[in-house]
Amino acid sequence: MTDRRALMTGGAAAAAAAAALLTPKDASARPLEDVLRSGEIRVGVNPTLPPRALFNERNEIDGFEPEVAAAIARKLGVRLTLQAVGSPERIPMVVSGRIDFVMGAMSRTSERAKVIDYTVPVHSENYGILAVQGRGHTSLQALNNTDVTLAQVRGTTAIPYIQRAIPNARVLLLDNYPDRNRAIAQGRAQASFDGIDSVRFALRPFRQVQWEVTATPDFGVTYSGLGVAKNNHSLRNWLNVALYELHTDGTIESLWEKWFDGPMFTKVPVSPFF
Amino acid sequence: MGLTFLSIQGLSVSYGGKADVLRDVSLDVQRGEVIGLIGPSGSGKSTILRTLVGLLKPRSGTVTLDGQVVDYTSRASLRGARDRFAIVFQQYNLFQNMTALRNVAIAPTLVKKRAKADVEAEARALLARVGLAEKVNAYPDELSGGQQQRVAIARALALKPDILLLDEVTAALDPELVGEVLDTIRALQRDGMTMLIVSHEMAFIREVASRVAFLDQGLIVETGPPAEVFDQPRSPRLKEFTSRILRH
Amino acid sequence: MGYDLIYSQVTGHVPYLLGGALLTLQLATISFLVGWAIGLFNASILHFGPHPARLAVQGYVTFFINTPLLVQIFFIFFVLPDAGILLSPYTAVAIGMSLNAGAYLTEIQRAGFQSLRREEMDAATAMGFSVPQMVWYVVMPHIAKTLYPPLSNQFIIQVMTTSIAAIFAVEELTGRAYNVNSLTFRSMEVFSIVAVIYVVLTLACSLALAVLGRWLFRVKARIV
Repeated sequence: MTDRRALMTGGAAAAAAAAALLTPKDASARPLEDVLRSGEIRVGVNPTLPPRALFNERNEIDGFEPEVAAAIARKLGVRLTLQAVGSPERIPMVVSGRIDFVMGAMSRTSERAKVIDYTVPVHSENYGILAVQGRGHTSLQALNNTDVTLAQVRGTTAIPYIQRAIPNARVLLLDNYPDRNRAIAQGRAQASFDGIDSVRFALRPFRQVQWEVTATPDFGVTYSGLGVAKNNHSLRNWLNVALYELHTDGTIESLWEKWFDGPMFTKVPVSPFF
Repeated sequence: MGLTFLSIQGLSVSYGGKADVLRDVSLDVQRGEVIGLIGPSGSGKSTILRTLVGLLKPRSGTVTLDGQVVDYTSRASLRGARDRFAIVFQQYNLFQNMTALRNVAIAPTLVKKRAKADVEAEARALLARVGLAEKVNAYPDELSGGQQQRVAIARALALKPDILLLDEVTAALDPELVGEVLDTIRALQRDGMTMLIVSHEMAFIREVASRVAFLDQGLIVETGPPAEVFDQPRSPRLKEFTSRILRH
Repeated sequence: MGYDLIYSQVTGHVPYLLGGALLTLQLATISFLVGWAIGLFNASILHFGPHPARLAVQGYVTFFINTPLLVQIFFIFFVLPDAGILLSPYTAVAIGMSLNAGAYLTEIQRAGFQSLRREEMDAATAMGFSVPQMVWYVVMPHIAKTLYPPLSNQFIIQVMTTSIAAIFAVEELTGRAYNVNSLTFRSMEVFSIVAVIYVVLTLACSLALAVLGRWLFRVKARIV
């Protein structure tokens, strides 16, 4: 007497939902002129990645990315609407035109660039090792050991790097950075290989642990741009020009220092050519 | 007749804080006797059977079986009582999820921890004895009421009870199915099974019972051989009861 | 500027996703069986047990039904370590899901006890069954039979609920979907494949449950 019909209905509903997702009829990104005409630009930021974006004490979205987005909106002369996005849905949000571009750990990879277009870099992403002090977890060789468990955040760029460069370490994939930090503090994992840009901010609640952060600049630096829908050239070209101006007048660097308690580990080389 | 086999002395039962359903009931039964319990509805006939088998707790009184006092106070000692008495209910009360064979075999294997193969052989024999050799693998909902009641009798017999308690076993049956169940009980009587039978089948009681007890409002009003009780009732209540019954 | 579906970037990951589906099924089965045992035990106590034990069961049910599963697992995964109890992700999630399912399955099976046939219980009592024997041989088949639809629904819910395990480092289907997604950025392709796997998984489960029900408890479920 399993309710087969209800199940079938459920299955059909799921299939219909999937179909709706797969054939987004009215889903199309807005070119620059549509953004200007509407008087509003909609930007996706990820408030689970402080201080890139966060909810401040007034429960408003704040942080480095919202301030950069605000500077962009001012240059464009339109109203800024911020949309909180998480890792899994950020790309569909841009592709379907529900936001005009997305920020938030959008480090460029050739694989990702098949799906989404990037502007010129906004900031660099620097990698390093986060570990508890005095255990010798200060080099990738030391981590490349079956005794070592790395706590990482699911869906982040570091993971393919780890699979390539630290293949012997075990990996514990968690949902967010606070959980990752907690896992290391509690001894579930010994270290993490990930971005270290915001680590000072993130470790504030774990003062009882003596942390050790080792940068690994020789490993390579990645760059995060703004994520724009594929082939939305008009918007992307304008954003490139705007970012050039925000870099050269020092806006981006000063906002970075304000939110990340120090300069970028690697400066973004600014080029007049896109 | 030898020593008293079952002796009920001053049994009172009440439940739910109400007045006693049974009041100071005493009854002696000899081995091999068949006692017919008659009386109007609510007179306490079924209560006697349900108390003997431990479904109801007596408020006072003693039950002595084969010289041993039956202890109804604890769960452990109740096990002992349930070894000696087996009951067949009006509604058959078969386990719906078990075949006829399993219904008959489960209690001996589970409660008495006997070997499954032995018990099943016995169970088959018992089902054959009640005329259901063909139905060992049938589930209750595949059997007629009469067949179900005969499975229930076989199930009770599988416990090898000293005394079989039959509680209105034909009351829920269609008239044409009553005969087969009564035949089964007649056969048990011929085999010398000690039985307490609650029934409205007066003709049947008269036929099989060695003695009849008439209950009214929780009291045993009169006991005696069937001929005496049915034909020469002494108390006015029994007179009224028999005249009402016999008019039917 | 529509989105073109390109599955070729994802198809290579399908075996990896199927491995996650296996883990999903395993987690759902374990948590359902343990939860069902907890529920049966609790419902027995609610039906037969003394007053203090009934209160304890009601407290357990109230607590687990009125707090989110996420919070319960978070507690087991991240708070217990501070008390010196460090459970593996899989164990922590399995325990959390079992305790949670146990509360719901207590409620479901309590209804089964209430619909018990008094006559069958009388017969079992009169024949000297102990309470555990009565629960196992009389109550349980009755519950399994009469409550088969809600019980199998609960199992399907367990299958869906396993997706929460991804948050706690268990690489089941959803977790693996996130992993493939972050690698390829092909969200729609990945999640449409995962949706199909879930649908196939749950349909296969309900079919298996229907066959099992017919075989074990003579529940005459119509099978496709």
